[in-house]
Amino acid sequence: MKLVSITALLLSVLLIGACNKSDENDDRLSGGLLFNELQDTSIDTCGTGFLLQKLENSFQSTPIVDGWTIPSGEVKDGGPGKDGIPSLQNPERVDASQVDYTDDELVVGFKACSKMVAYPHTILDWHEIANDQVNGIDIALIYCPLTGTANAWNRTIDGQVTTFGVSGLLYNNNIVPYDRETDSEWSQINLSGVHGVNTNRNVELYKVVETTWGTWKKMYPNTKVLSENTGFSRSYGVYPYGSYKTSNHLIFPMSNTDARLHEKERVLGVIDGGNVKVYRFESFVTQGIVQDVYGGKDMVIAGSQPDNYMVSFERKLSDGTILDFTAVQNALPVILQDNEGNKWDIFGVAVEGPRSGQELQHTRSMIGYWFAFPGFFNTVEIYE
Amino acid sequence: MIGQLIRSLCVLLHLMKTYCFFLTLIISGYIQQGFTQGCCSGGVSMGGNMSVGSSNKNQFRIRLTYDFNTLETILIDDLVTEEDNRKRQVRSYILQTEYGISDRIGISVVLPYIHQLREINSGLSIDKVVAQGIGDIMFLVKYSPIILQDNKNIGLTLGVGPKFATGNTLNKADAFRFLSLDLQPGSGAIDYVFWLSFLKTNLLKNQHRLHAMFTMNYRMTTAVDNHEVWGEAELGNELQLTGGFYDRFYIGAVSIDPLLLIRYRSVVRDVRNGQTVDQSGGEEYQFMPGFNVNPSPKITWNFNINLPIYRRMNGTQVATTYKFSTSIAYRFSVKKDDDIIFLIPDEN
Repeated sequence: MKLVSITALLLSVLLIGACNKSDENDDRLSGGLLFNELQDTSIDTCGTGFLLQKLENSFQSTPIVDGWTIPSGEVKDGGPGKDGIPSLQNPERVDASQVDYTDDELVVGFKACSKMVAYPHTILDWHEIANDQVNGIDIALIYCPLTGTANAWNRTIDGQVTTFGVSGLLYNNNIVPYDRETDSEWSQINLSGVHGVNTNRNVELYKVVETTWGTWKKMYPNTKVLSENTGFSRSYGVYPYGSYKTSNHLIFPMSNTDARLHEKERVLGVIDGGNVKVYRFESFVTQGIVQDVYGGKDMVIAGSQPDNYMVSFERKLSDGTILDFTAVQNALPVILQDNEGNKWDIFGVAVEGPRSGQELQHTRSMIGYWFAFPGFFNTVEIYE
Repeated sequence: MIGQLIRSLCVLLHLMKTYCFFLTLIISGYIQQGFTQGCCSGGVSMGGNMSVGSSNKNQFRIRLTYDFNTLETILIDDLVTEEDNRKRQVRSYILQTEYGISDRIGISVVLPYIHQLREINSGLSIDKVVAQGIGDIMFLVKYSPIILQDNKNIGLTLGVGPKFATGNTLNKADAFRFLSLDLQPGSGAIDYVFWLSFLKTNLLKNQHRLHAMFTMNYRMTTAVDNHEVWGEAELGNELQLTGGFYDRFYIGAVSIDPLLLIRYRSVVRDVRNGQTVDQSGGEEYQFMPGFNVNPSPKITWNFNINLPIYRRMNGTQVATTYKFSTSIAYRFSVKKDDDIIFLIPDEN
């Protein structure tokens, strides 16, 4: 009887301790804002113990002038102010069947093993940053409506999980997020800290796929998607920048412009240090691929104009093998097959063949409006 | 003591009676439409701070206005949201000097000093930014084809003039970073102001107290290009119509003018580097009760509040929650023999 009582007491203490720990975590994540308690918190390790490939940015340290690694005089106050555009904290996610988003809306898709989440532009246009946790991975989905660029950042810095907010600043029309742990400012396209404690710290990226809601749903019918129930009243169906997406005008000046393409043409920029090479949708009128060499690396770029995606990977595997790819038609999310008989999905994971479960090395790349790239990179090549 | 109390009550009752009378007129359709304010923009709207009516020959008029505008209502089009995390407070100190070259021609100069606070509460921290400085100076030449002294009970005055880019547009958040244009006291651009004032006194035949007034301000903006700061920017054109009634009664030698005005303000969207800024501009109707106290013909104290009636902003914007203005005006003549004439109340 005594043993049972002691065991019950110990279990109670453990349970209370666990509950308290969970509460602390909730507080940290919610930050006094919205916290969705209904998220799926189970973790899928893809059966291999491997979670997800993180990509270190390779930008070299940049000289610091007046505390900034980018020209401080070219950092503009965008107008709404710090947190005037409210970032989302663990936003509510729902099943695809629970939303009525139109198929041609753009989404930023994130996949961690069997857990997929789509972040619609229509919501990101109003919030720009979603601090989220997917399959146990803390990410900040950073999106800039003015440059049309999106990427997923690792929110764990030096072992501390932080959240990112919208500083209200812009550099070359591009969002300057800040982390709430140190109040440092970062550059989304530079992929590094540009001011504060985290100056010159590189962003760790997770792979995202930007495509339409229709394509994403077709590939991943079990996906979750951000709901419009964000805790904020916004006109999510209305684009907040009017004709900006298609006009040939910018809201703020650029330090460098290049008129070779229409300013708002969406292109895939593959980054090599301080240089970038862009790929156009018109190179992928049907589902197709390009094998190219850039920055001394063999790459494969796959894309489709009708399905509205472009992704890029290195062809060289960790064992030194360089694969030859061809496009796979009408089998989304499978888009590539190689000379060894492997089939690869849109996230670069082998889903069939001898290398099944292996993953292609991601490139540092992002889709964005053409005008954005000349403002950030020394040379901008266009794939012809 | 009791006498003073009764006197105060009488004044209060009189004001209430007048306001009730005005409201009855408005509700009965005497005025079909009322009047606005949009959101934040570079500089400050000064159109509403012009004195109404004609100038008087050889007469100077100096008026100092304090205008306090709190914007913490977040609107989506015409929908008021429940968000309360953003606040702006604009304090304007406006000095207006007017001189009558003749009874029909006058010149007016308006010099504002503006202090603006922007506060955003993210739930984790509060970000405060303050910008202040001299605003844009406005000159106005006024001509009155019809003046009240013509004994027609009608006054019509037209005005036109530039608003110069004298205002501070270079407030910084820190050593290097300029604040956004909408926080700056100046707009950086030369604007052109077109102004009209219409008065009809003794509105009712058997009532020699009720008067009507109407003013129109139209600010035609131009673009300013400052690459170092924000590139090319043009604030939207602005139309402001104000109309209503005023009464005049006396307590001893002191005359009091209760005012009941409605304002419509419409602002076109801003343009940045050729791109229309969708979340800017809009229209608003405001209800503006107020009063003037004239202890002598030389001095007028004005107070009024602005209460939004209906607003439709373009997209999501922070809009006025409440606003009040108070001013003190002093008139004097450069020639000793000239009478100090004051027939017209102040309007903010």
